[in-house]
Amino acid sequence: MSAAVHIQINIIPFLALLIIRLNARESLSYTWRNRALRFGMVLMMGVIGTGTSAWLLDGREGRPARFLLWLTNIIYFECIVFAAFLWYLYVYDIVKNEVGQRGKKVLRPAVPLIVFSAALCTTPFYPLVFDIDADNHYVRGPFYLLYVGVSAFYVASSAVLVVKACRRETVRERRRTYWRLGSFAGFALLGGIHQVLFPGVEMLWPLLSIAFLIVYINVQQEQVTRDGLTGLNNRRRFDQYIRELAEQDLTRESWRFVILDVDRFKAINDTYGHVIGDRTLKLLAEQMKRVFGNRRSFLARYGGDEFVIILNGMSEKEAAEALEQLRKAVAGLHRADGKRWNITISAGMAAYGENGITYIPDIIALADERMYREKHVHHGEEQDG
Amino acid sequence: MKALAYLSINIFPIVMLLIIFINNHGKTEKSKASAYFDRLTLITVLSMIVDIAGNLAAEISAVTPDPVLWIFFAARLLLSAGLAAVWLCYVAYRLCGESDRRRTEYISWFAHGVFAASVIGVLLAPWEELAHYGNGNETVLMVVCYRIISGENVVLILISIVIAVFVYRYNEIREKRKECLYMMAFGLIPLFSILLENYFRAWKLTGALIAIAVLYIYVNAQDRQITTDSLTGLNNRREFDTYLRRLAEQGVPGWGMLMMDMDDFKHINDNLGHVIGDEALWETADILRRRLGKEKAFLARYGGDEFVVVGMWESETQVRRVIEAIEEETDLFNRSGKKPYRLSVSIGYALWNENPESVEKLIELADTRMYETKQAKKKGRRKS
Repeated sequence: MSAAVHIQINIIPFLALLIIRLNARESLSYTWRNRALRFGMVLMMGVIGTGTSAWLLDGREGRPARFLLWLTNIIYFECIVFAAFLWYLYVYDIVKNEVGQRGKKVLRPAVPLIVFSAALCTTPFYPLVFDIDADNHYVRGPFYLLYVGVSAFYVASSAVLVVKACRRETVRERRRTYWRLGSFAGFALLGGIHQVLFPGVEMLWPLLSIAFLIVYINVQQEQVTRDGLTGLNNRRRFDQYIRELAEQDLTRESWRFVILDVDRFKAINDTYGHVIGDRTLKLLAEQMKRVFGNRRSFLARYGGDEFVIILNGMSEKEAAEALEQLRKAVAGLHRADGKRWNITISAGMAAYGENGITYIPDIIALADERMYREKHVHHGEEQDG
Repeated sequence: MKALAYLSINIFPIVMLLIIFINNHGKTEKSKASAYFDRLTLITVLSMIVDIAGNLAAEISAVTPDPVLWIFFAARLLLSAGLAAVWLCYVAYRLCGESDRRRTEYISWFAHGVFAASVIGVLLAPWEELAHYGNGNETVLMVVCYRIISGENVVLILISIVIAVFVYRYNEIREKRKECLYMMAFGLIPLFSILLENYFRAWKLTGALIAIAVLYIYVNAQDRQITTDSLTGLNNRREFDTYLRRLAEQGVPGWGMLMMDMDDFKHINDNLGHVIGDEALWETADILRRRLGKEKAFLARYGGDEFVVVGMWESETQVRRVIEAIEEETDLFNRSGKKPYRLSVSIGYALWNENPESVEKLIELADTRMYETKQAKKKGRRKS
């Protein structure tokens, strides 16, 4: 394989990673998880860059070439193993749903990485992992398999985490996420096998770049469908969901649509300010997730202070009880920043097929109507009381 | 270049395009530009696959029957012609689809016409010659026809670049100008790449580079959906919060914000309907864009009928000037009388130089001042 072909195979994944890395600065919020993903992209670019450079420099004469060969190969191996380690942490974070890793949790899985890094640092003095021979050719050292073993260990462990989580998970969307994460290991395996069978052509890095691309595009998609303030589905996702529902057969299970909103929200905003208004919405969303999150439900912020819950497989009694639970959880006096305020919600529920209606927008309109009726009742109660 | 090497180079971009197409298809917003982008992705990936298959078939041309060779070559020609046409339509609808609907449609018709001509050209060409094109035995007529079709593609791409240049010159809004620059760059890339391929036989990156352009456009379109308010096109609340936080964290001195609220929005919505209400929101956003789009002002829709502007202002005088400018522009809009409603806004400001304790306090301050302005207006109205 000529140099031109080798460069062309690698430059496109490099450019693609660069594009999504630059884009991730704006698109992705600053969580630990996203920082890890961003840094992983940089590491991949480093791997492709140094890998290609090392391949091009191999066999060239001269001391500068020799120095560069040592440098690029060391960076190459370190980036790969570090990226594998970071991937493991990333998957662990998603599967265990924790917010960032600190202290002990990072130290124990880091041991193989530390051991390998030590071997890599010693390599220029005593060729453990690899050697650059007299003709400036790269040669594998006795501890080369350590590199393969450690990287494979991290990738395989992440796959195991994903498989275990997938078994326990019932929500379809989360299972899909896990499948995508697991496919990373699949790509790595495919690329590794390909590298063994066809040693001249390196497909491993383009394949892993594809895996990164899949992960990034899906993380971005999530951001497109999430409401920034509450973490629920946003209006765009809601419209999409309704379109998807319209194509399904909804008669087999009971589908209920709930519209709810915060009473006198504009007054809360005007009297106590936007910060309190935001907090109200966040509180409501948290309780919605707590009460309905485990059941088969679709939660969305419809806009402003209006929310929608689409329930599947609950009887009318169960749904009403859950709503009561939500009301109680949210109601009462709240305190923050020296301000105190009351939150009450109005809700209206309508079931698919109720009154013979099977057109979803009409069902939602019915739930809306009922919500407004309750709002007027609340308003009346306030004025009397 | 050997077909296998060509395949190895193009596997990544092909898979990338398929991923983008699968994720994007059917989820696009209902605009012509998005529809053309969808087609662009599909045609690019098809043309790359056909290109590779055609290379493979040509390499083993001793074994491949002529009709098959013809199908591949004709498909490659037509797909590349289709790609150029769809690219032109995409750029036209994206850059001037909203502002100049009629001219954009003319351009689209032109692109379709050129593509139809290519189809006719390919079908009328003597098919045995076409099947073996490239092996040195082509007639002059054949070469001329091939050059004309390739030339048409180049012309369509050049037109797209010219459009981008035009929109850049006649537009002063920073965002739009950036878009134009990117469309220009993406048009130039295949042109340069084709030139390169003619001189360096070892380099065949045109399809792959177009795929990179598609990735860039897709990822940015997603980004725009995440960071902008779909109704008004301004930044959304999330972006505003992030922006303020960054300004505060980086310790940037001398900035401030305006909190702006539409006075009669509820009235417009209730009396003239939601559609007119949405339109009024868009018009208000456009007033901000027109007046402040050229400067380094950050415009966002805060929610409902509220807007915010963040700018590098150090003193009250600077802010007052901006507020006056906005009110002037609103006045102009009302006087033009194009719409069945009058816009009126209440604006409150707050400066970081006033040393509020936090970003939240800054917002609160602007909010309070806006509320005061609103109340003062109401009293003023009652008097008159």
